[in-house]
Amino acid sequence: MTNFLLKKLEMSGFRAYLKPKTFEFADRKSLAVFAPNGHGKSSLVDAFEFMFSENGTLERLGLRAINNSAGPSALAHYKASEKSIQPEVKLWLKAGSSTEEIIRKATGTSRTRPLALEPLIECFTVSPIIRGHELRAFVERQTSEDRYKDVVRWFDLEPLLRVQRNLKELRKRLKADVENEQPIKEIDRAVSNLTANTLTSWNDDLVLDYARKLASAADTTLVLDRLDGADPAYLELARRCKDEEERLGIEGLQQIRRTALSLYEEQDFQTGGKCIGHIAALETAVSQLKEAVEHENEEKSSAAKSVFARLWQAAEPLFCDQNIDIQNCPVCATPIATSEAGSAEIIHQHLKSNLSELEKYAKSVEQSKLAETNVASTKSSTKATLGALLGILDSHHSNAKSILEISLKKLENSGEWDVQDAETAKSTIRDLIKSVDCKLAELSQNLSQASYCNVHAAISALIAIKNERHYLLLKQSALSDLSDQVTIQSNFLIGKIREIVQKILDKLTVPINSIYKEIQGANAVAIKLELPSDEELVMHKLHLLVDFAGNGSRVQPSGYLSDSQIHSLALAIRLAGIKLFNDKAPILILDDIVTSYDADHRRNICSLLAKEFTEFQVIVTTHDERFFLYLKDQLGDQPWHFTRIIRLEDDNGPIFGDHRITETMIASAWSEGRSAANEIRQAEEEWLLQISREFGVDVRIRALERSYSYERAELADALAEFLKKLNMVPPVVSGVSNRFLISLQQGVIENFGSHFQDTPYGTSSIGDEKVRWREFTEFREKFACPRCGKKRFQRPNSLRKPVCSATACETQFAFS
Amino acid sequence: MKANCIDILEELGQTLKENGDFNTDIATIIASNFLSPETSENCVDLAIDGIHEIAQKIADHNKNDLA
Repeated sequence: MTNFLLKKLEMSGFRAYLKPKTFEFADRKSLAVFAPNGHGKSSLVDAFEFMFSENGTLERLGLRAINNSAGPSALAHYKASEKSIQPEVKLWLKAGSSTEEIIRKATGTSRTRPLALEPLIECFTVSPIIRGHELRAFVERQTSEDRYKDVVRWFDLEPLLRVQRNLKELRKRLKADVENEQPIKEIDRAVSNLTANTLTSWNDDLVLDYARKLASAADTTLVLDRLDGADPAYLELARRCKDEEERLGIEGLQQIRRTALSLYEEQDFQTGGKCIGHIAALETAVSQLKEAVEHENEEKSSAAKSVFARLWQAAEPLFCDQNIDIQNCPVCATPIATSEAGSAEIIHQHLKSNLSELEKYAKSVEQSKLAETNVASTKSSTKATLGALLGILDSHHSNAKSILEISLKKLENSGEWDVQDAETAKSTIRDLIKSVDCKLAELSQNLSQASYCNVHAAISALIAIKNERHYLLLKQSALSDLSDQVTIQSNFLIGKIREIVQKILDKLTVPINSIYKEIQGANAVAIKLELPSDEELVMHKLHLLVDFAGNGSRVQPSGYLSDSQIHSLALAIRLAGIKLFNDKAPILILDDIVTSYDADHRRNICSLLAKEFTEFQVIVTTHDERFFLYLKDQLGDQPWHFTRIIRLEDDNGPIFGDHRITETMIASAWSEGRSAANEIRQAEEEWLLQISREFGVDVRIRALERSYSYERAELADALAEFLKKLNMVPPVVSGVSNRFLISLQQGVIENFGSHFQDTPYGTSSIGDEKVRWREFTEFREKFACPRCGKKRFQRPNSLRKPVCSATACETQFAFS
Repeated sequence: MKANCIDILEELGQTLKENGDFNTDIATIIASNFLSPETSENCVDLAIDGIHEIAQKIADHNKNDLA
């Protein structure tokens, strides 16, 4: 079953251990260490915590020196640096059939957990280390949330509980959506805006009345039956609106007006004002041209009447063309050379001298030409503007349009435009402007009043809001039904999950109760791990409750249980968790867990370990000798190693005086060339204590201060007396030279001194020790069952003589 | 000893979907968003969106019926 085994542990320069100290677990996988306080026993547990920790520290040291935490520098022995000892812990971890040596340095900033430990750490669902000082806090200070976190992680229940939380969240949010009045309020706000606060919220009847009033304002014949896009009155309204939209709008009319006015405008006409515009300008230009032509003709006539009239008439071409290269008179064909002047040049000179008389005529010609140019220019601009006006006139101005089209054609055909045409155009434009002004006035009035378009838009918006509201109500109704379904289904699921989770929790509750009862006795109160109410589910809590009054009503333990009960409860939870969840790494490390217990409870914890944790590798440290002795008593025949720290040396570390000496340990001492005298003496005493207990010898009750410690002389005396009474004489061991054995054999007991005497046998050689050990083991062999040969006995009170304790043997003891 | 949550959730999903008294759309939304092994972090948002979509479809359907 064991996948992992801590095979060996070595510490050096670590906590109380300066020089390397090795703990072997290969033969005896479990270990109990007794030591008075301050002797370094907890350093052993520290070594495991350090190895298993993620950051290479101890919980009580913290990650840095701050407040009450000493920081990781306290991992190292205070003399490690001085003695050049590298502070470290080595662990030989057996996984399956292979063993790996894992080293973790206890100094430096990078104390990353060695990768080789990860498979083991993964198997520690629950921390395998329990420290006595934490137990009370585990029950009293651990909040429901902490407990929830622990237990949920132990069982990996998070996915199930997450479903419960999600469903609750879904229910809550869906309910909020169903009850959300915001969209309806927005519709009310829209109604309020549309009706200019006449209505503050939606009301079918009132909104219909309002819409009817709007329609009636546009046309009293428009009577809405209902607020609907298919209502006949609404459809009629829509048609009229379309028609209205198709007509020119204000902007278009204003453009027509501006263009028309640029063609012709009578400014202050009523008071005799002037006319402006292209047509007026054209009229003026035409008039001016006419005047210029007339003036030119007059000047021409005047010039012709002068003395040079005839000459002028004949010479006009010459004058005009500036042609001086002429041979004959253009009037009488008289050769110029034969004329009175005699040459063209002389004629020129003559004309020049009379030019002043022709200047007026020349000016009038010039003015005529200017007037002509002006006419052409104003005609051009008039044509352009008239064309533009025709371009923007719609079918509503078709009459004006057709007249003006003729005017334009006439303008384009030079010579056809006359005063009558101008008058027609002017009159048409005047009428057009009047018509446009009327329409603009009408439109302006409609803007402030109910135009079809305005009314249609307002009623359409109300219909849209009505539809939106209707749809919203349909959706909210559907959402409400779905929300009810979600509630039904989530209640079903939450209930199911709760049942499942509670059943899973009960799997832990059963061993917790069993362990608690084992420690506290048959009257122990019932303990329950309970999920909170549905309302509290999202709060990640797990209640630890006890049936204190035994009537089924559950209460918080800390207010009702005694100190030792609290400890037992915490211990029960931790041990149950370790047993239940750490089955792939059955390792249990207990540091001083019995501080607050009385003798019975300590014994109960021993028997709990003996009964329930036989599969586990258990490391126990205690400063309680009674507990230590109980452990030895109950687990002495199990693969346990018992040892005690007898002192703490500054330059070394804790010094151990081992219990349960084995032949291997003694042989090992000899093979290393050192004396095994202490081990031999201890082995003798261990055997003496065991056989005295099993035979049920009478021992005087010791003084209170050493009530659980026996001296070898006392036990030897009691055993010798017992054997004497039964007339049982141990057989002689050949060659025995051991005073202790001789005393026992002869029943005459000396005072052998205390167990911790430094040199119990003075200075003897290893050879002497080997003889002495052989004699002892031979003597010990005499105390064997005459039938089955086993060496464990018992003597119930009803029997005089001890019997073999082997099941189905129970043969009365006798020396063979 | 760890709970096999994936199997438990799958079984719950099946139970939900096969229950004739339950609205199948809602059962499907709950099963796919909350009881699936690949539950997304915003599963509640997704479920809400899904339920709103269904509500919208019902509303559309009823609106068309009325029309």
